[in-house]
Amino acid sequence: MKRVLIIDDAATVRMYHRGILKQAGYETDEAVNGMEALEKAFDGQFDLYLVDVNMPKMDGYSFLRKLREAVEIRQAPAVMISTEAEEHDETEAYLSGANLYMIKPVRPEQLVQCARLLLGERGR
Amino acid sequence: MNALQAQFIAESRELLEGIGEAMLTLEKQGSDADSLNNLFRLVHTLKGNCGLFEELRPIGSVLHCAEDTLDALRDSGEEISSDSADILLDAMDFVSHSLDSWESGGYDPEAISPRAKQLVASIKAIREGDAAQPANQAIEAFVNTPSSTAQTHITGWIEPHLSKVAQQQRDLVWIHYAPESDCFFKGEDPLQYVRSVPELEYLAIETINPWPAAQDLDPYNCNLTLTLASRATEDAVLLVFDYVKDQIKHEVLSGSLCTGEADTSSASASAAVSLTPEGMLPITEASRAQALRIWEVQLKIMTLNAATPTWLGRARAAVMAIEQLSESLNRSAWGDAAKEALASSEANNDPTPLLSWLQRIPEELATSINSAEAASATDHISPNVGAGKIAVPAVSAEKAQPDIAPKAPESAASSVEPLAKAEKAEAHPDGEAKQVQILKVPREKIDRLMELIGEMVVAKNSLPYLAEKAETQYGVREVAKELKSQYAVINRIAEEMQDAIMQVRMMPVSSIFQRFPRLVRDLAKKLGKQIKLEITGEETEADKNIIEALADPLIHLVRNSLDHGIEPPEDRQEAGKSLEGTIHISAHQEGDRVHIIIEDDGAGIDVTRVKRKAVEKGLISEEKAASMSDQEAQQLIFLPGFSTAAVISDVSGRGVGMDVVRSAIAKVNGTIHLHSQLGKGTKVDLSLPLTMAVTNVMMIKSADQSFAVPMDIVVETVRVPADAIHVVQDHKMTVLRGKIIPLRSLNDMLHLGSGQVPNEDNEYAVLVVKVNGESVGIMVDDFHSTIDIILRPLEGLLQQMQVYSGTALLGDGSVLLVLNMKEVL
Repeated sequence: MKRVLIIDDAATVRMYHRGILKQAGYETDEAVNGMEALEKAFDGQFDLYLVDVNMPKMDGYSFLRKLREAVEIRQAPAVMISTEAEEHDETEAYLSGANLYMIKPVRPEQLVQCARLLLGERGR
Repeated sequence: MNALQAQFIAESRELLEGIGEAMLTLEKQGSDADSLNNLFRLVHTLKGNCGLFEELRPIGSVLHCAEDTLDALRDSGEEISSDSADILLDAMDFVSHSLDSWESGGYDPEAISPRAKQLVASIKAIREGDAAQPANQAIEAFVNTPSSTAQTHITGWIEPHLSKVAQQQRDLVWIHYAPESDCFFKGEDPLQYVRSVPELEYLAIETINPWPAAQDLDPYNCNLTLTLASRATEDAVLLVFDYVKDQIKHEVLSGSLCTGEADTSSASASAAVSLTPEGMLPITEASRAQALRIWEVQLKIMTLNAATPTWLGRARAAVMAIEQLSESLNRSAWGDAAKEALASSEANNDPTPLLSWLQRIPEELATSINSAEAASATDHISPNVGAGKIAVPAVSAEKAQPDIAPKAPESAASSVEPLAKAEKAEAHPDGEAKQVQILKVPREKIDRLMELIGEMVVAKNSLPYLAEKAETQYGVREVAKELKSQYAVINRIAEEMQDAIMQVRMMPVSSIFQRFPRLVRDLAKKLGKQIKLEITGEETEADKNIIEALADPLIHLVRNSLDHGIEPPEDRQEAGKSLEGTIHISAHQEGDRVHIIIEDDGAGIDVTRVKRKAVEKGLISEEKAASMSDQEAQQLIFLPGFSTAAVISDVSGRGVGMDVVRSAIAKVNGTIHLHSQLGKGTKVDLSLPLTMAVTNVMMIKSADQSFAVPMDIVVETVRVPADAIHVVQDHKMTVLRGKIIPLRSLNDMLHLGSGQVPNEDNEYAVLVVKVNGESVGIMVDDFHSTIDIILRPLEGLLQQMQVYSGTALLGDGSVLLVLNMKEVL
């Protein structure tokens, strides 16, 4: 089964994303900040990262940069989920290593469709 | 309320609490960057969470505005004024109340909209006159600068600090210092070096390897790396590290750098090629549009600066995205081709092969298909995503997305597993964090567990009786012995279990203390007094029920201190005290009791005024008032119907007096002591049991019946010879160690209709108890041992029997009545 790492400091957001992804048939794991996410990325195999921007200890941009610098880890695609709709924020996300940029709150069908395309139907 | 909503509410409360705390810290200590960042993040998170629920939009708008304002303050480095803090706190109260009504179902977005708009306007007003715009751009440029060693440390910390640096147009010197592991043997002292750095702005200490267990730690082996930033000149900073030049890396960040985005590739967009093999299912229009967007984004990613250290990772991730995308679409040939292009790029260390491959967007994706299916799909879609259009702005593309699977967020999340929340504990100072799993469990479950273990403790008590019965009644001594040894085991386990469950119910008093800073701040402002609040020992733990029972009395006591205790500044000045009054709230554990002390350096209790008031209200007689000691007179304030405040203020005078406080404390078996010195201040000491679950009682016998008296009021047990009992004015009394103790017969008080029986030596058993600060001797027939019982309150009709505080079940199945001495006397 395909695994998604949900990275967000807000428990509500994690629960929301987890609920949507589980229902769509994917396995999920969670991290509350970039630091924890990085540890998990080193340990586990993920097929997709959902990354929040603003987090304590290590934010989403730093996490992505560190992840993309650590080429020995499997470089799975990452979706950055942000509250900022400005173009320079989006560019910054791509420059850091995001593969897609979405604006919060992400609607369930948006997330599911994106997961389907980036992970395949029901994870297979 | 579904699980997501419940989670949202619970988290919001935590966030709001954190916001309140952060605001107060900021107001008190000035705007330091960490607190401001923390506050900003909390507001930001709360806003984000509100965004998940459409109907919470008005709340979200207030939070959004607050976030913007905080952001502006953060950038400008301005202090948060007391008035601004008021507005922001008001806004948070509004959010809190609105969420309360949302939770209880009485929420109406229309109704709160006007207030929300009003708040938005006043929050915006804070920000007005903020002229930090040019500085912002400088910071942005600064932060966007790609740079290897500094980059990882920049985000999060540097932004707020840089506002100052950028305004001054000064450079920042970054040093990464990795001391050799045997540096201490070479006379190098990393800490000393760092301390000598002039104008140190930032210091991060990180471990190279995780810390080993304490016994394996080699303190002579340096396991640290240090990253620091200074505003001093490059030469000045490097001079410090002159002896360890080979161990440092340094970098200078100029205050006027611009974004380091490299030239985007000039390779021309070549024609799209069709890679669709024969016989494959066409891609649906909805997927196609989204897939095209993903493809285009990957292309954009690859056109961004190739000279950053993340480039290889980004390239691989982009290819993996294309690969997975093509698999999802059943076009795995695309993925294979992408991998080949990547391999070629990696091999030649040149982004061109991958870039040019990505630019050839497959025709299938690039053009919308004219099949019947596509036509029906396009009915709902605005097909504005054209071929060759790079980087469709995220918002517009998403807005164009139809509701293909219209599922409410609630329904999507309602099937998720129960609330289990894993959160990072406080990080180790070196940044290495330990994970603590916190489980949120409904309270009823714990209470149920508590009840069950209570029953078990009682049930296991039947074993010794059984053993005795086996021996005396059936004459099987062996069985009795085995039963007893087995009982010892069960007893130990049961006690440990009880202890463990009680631990679960323990919570720190900080949960009630944390509301005081706000309370004191607001009240002090209202009363025009200057008050400093000190809180210590907030980590002290006690049973949840006790903590909860304490909340209201404590607020009352603190209000009293503020309103009646601390004098207005003018009065204080006259009395030669500092203008600022101090209220000290502390908690500590003493044996199996928790003490909470509220102390102020205010006016203290005016004993003559108290006496006069008590006489006026007819609470005591004039003669009694005259004969009272100061200490006794101070206790008068605990009498029902006593209130000395000349004017009933809305701060403390609400018709609830100290008597209510005392009875609330007494309800959880607590006691309250008051010491006051006129002109110096008042100290209130609350003593509370650690837990309410188990009560230690002394069993006594009177008129052939067993009773129990809670041990915490028992002072001592004595045998008083009959001839030492004197009768003065129809009252029995005796002299104990030179002190007169009034005696009361339990049988008389309970109307048991028989006299007390002395023992063979003609001595009466007297239980000396302390009730309301007075010692009284209770004459009983005999004392027995003390035991731990689970006290159950009387129910139904028996509830009116106030002389009994409850019953307990004994191991032999009999019921023990526990006396409520305050009522008996």
